[in-house]
Amino acid sequence: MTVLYVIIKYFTVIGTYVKAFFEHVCCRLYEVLIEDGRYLPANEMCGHVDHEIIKRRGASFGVCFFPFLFSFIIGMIFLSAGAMNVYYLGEFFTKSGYVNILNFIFLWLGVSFLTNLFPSVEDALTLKDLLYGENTNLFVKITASPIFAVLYCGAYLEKWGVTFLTSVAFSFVIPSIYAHILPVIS
Amino acid sequence: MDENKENNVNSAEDEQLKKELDQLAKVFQEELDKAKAQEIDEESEARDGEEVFGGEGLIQDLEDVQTVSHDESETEEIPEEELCECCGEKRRGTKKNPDSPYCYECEKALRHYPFELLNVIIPLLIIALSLYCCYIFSDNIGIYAAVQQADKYVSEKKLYTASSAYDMAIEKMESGNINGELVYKRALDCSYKTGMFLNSDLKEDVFKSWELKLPHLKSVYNIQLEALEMRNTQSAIDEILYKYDSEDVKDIPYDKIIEEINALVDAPAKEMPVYDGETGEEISTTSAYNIKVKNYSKPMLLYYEFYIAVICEKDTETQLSFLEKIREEYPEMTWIYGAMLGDIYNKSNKDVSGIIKKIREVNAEDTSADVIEATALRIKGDYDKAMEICNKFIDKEDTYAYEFLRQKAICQLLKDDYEAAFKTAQQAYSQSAVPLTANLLLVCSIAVNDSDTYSEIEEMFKQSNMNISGEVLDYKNGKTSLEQIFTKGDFDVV
Repeated sequence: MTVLYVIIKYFTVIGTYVKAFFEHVCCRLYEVLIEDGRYLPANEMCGHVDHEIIKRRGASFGVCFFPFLFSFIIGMIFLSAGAMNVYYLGEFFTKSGYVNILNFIFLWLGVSFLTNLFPSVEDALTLKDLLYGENTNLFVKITASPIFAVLYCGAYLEKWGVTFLTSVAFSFVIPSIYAHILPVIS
Repeated sequence: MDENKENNVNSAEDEQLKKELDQLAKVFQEELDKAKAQEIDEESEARDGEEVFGGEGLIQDLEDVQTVSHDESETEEIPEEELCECCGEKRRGTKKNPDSPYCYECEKALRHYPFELLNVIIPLLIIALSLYCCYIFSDNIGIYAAVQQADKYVSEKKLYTASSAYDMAIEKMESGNINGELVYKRALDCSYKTGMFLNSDLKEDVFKSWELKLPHLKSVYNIQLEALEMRNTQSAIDEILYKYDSEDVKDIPYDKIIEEINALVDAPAKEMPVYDGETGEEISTTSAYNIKVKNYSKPMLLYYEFYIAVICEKDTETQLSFLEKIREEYPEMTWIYGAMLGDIYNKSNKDVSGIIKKIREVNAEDTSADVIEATALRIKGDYDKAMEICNKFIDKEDTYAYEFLRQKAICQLLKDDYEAAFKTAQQAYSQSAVPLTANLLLVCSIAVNDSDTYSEIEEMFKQSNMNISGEVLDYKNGKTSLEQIFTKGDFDVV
């Protein structure tokens, strides 16, 4: 499983790298001790920075959520332009007949970012312990539950390499989503 | 003995005292170390506020750690198991976390793990690229919206509107220098369903020949092939009919022509000459379109057989047999058989609801369905409803507007409103001066006793070398009535 995981991480290397960078930034902001700051080791920590077990709830949420949010925003930008130009308009070639590389790069970057959205399983489990432990009040538990559910499930999906398939599938769905949004925004 | 005993007691006391002093020294040393560490902690904490987010601050911290560690190692030896895991020189543990495997400085440094240059450059480049991507996306929004609008019309089966919307979207795309192959494909699909593809641009210069073999553009290949086959068939039939161009209808050898057309069904297609747009030289179809036309189009051959049957005035059943065959084998090609089949069904007083439904299923904007419906209602005697349908399309710039006017005029005639019928028939004739509208105008002019209009139209018939309908002449001579013309026989003036 780790081999598949690492292959997918290297195939989506830009998303992997930038996600790890965002995680690094968040760790620094929350003063979380980083034990291994390499972004692309060929193991299950590929795309994550190896840090201490976080004991503060806010820090744990921040380290899991903000890298997810930033990667999602950037991924959506790339995927929107890439998927709309390739799948919707079918701009495979330029007017002069050359392959339109830029559109395919956008598409790959979009898929690459959306493949690497989620925290590591360890971080997700830590977040679960901190969010749903005894010392958390009910309001926090309820309000954080949708985001936590996404992060928790996503962490497992990413571990098994499924997020690559879901992001590719999502890229096909994007034009249909925009078909509903475009009349409003244009 | 006693002296020895006393000496032994003294030495034991000394040893105990020495031990106590050693312990005291150790405790004192530990306290001193703690005090020193606390002092360093406080100094470091004081520096926290000044520390800047980034690599340089951290590099400074690590240098400090090395200096302090060196000083300490000079003064004291620390057991290996108590050494910091990171620097390996200083005692592990901090005030806040005594069990930490790192010394205070290392732990602090690891909490502000440095960025390498590449760590920062790559994300910055990506963010810059994402901004450019935003620009491209926002620049194309107008095109996406135009294409989406056209797609929406297709999903609503409004194919004529969709076709115009695709034309607009393609115009926008071309002005934006975008070669959206899938938009061209959808536009072609749309024109195929309406039959407009037969005379329109097949966008052969948009697609590469090898691309047409790929699954996502297979339908483009099929449409282009179908169009070329149909055009080839038209040319082949023209060649057959050309021989009988000057013949009288009665002298046209129907059976021979049908036989010749049937022979084309399995015959290999002859290449139609195509002329180069720039040089005007004749080139082969294959080199012009990258498609090899192998056969003639079967629906087109059937349509021409129907056409010949109509010209040769064959009975309705013969005419129907060809159209029914097209309907059976190519049900989606309503543009080729729908209007004719509906008309013949109406003239035979058959149920037209199935045809109307199918035409609307394929193209909700195909008004031939409404013409068929209005005619059927008129034949049933429901003139008001028939006129209601006609009125919907009369003011629109519809292809069949003249036919709606004609049907309305017939309804008005049958409701004995001759003046209104005459005006409506005049409108129909002005829109389309064909024998159908001309004959009806003649009937109306007889009904309102307008001899000037009658003479004018009669003259037109003479000039065009055509005959006025026998029903019109009978009506003029009082041999038949309006009711007999429009409510019996073929329910129309032919």
